[in-house]
Amino acid sequence: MIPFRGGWAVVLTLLLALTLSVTQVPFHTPWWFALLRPEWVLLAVFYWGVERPDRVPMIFVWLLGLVLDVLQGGPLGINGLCLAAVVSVAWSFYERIRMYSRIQQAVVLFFLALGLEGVKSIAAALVQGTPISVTLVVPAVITMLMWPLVAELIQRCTRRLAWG
Amino acid sequence: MKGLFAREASAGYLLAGLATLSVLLVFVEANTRFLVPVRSAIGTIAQPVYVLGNVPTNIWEAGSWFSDVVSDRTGMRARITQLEEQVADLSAVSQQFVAMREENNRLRELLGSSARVPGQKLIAELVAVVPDVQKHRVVINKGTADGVAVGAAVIDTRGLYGQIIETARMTSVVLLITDTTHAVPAEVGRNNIRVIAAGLGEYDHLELEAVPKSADIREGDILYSSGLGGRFPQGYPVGTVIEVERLRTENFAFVKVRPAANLDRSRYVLVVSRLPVGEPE
Repeated sequence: MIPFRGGWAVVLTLLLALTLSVTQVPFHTPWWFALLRPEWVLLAVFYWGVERPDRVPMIFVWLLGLVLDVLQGGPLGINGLCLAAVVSVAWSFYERIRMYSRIQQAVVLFFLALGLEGVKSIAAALVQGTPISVTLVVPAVITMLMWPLVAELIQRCTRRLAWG
Repeated sequence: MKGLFAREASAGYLLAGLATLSVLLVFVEANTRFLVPVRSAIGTIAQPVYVLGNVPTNIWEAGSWFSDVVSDRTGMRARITQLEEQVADLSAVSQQFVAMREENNRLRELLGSSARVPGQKLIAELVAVVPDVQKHRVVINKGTADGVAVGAAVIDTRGLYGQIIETARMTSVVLLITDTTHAVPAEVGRNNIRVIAAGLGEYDHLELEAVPKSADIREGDILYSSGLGGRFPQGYPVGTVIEVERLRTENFAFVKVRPAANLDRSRYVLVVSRLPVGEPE
């Protein structure tokens, strides 16, 4: 479904999100600086999943999750699983979520992000032995705070698109 | 929108299928090595993403390169002099080093042990830092195409940096010595006590594991890699002991070590490839 009219905007947004999620933070920044990175791919998938559920195939998102796993060095399949679950939530509730204000949507997203971070931490703890830390809440909060901004931005940039 | 509703009905099955597949992937990866080439292939495809993600840093670097180009004559002269002095210093040391290596090999021959052959070194540049605070991993711009293999040791200009844990065609992933899942066999330079320096997930210190309270380790002791695990070459500085605490309530001494390498600063590192099996070490 993706390659058709307007679908390239979805692909472009997701690729941009992927790039942002590995963009290097400058050297000489304190260690907690890296914590402030929102889950860019989650933001993009959630936006398009709600806005254009017909243009976001679950298998494509799952494959994107695999790439993200390799980029982030986590166990293969975890991001795919979580992002596919987000798409399924979006497919089921997109009409309701569209009616929400940006703030309410942000709250929904917070819980999705928290779930994602939690699953990622648990998987990393089981497979790679990385300790689970309460700092996993921070990216979820940042993702929530970024939502209104990101959503407005994508909306303004893609308003004139012909979806066909 | 017709297609959507048809799909919605099957969305549950699709999600269940993908979830099963994901769990299977995690399980297979944790227990076997079947997925190593898959991960490597995805890493190769995702290479452009790293390059794109690096653009802001590159622009920043280009900025500093520009200020280098337009810097004034006296500044340049001062810097050249400084670098020349440094080169002179280092070449004096390295001359001695060559002589000492020869002598060392002769002595080892006398002792009946084989000579140490230095491994091949490859300069690599950091292209990305794995975006997870819990994981101390970086990506470098040399991969299987350049002969980098999993298990190769990585050093920077000051000491031991980490080891290669994943390779793609043009990039590889380095696990830093400070990662919580990493430990390096080391020895104290002063008296050759063998220790294991484990990462704690903090860039500025390591901890020595299971050090008896009676062990002769003091603040200021320098640790070198002992080469005992067979993974790291011997004799690279690991770190300096900065704190030793012997509590009566604990069974072991608590020893804190500051890593020698610039783990959160270095932009260029050296990959020291292991010797092929069968060659003397």
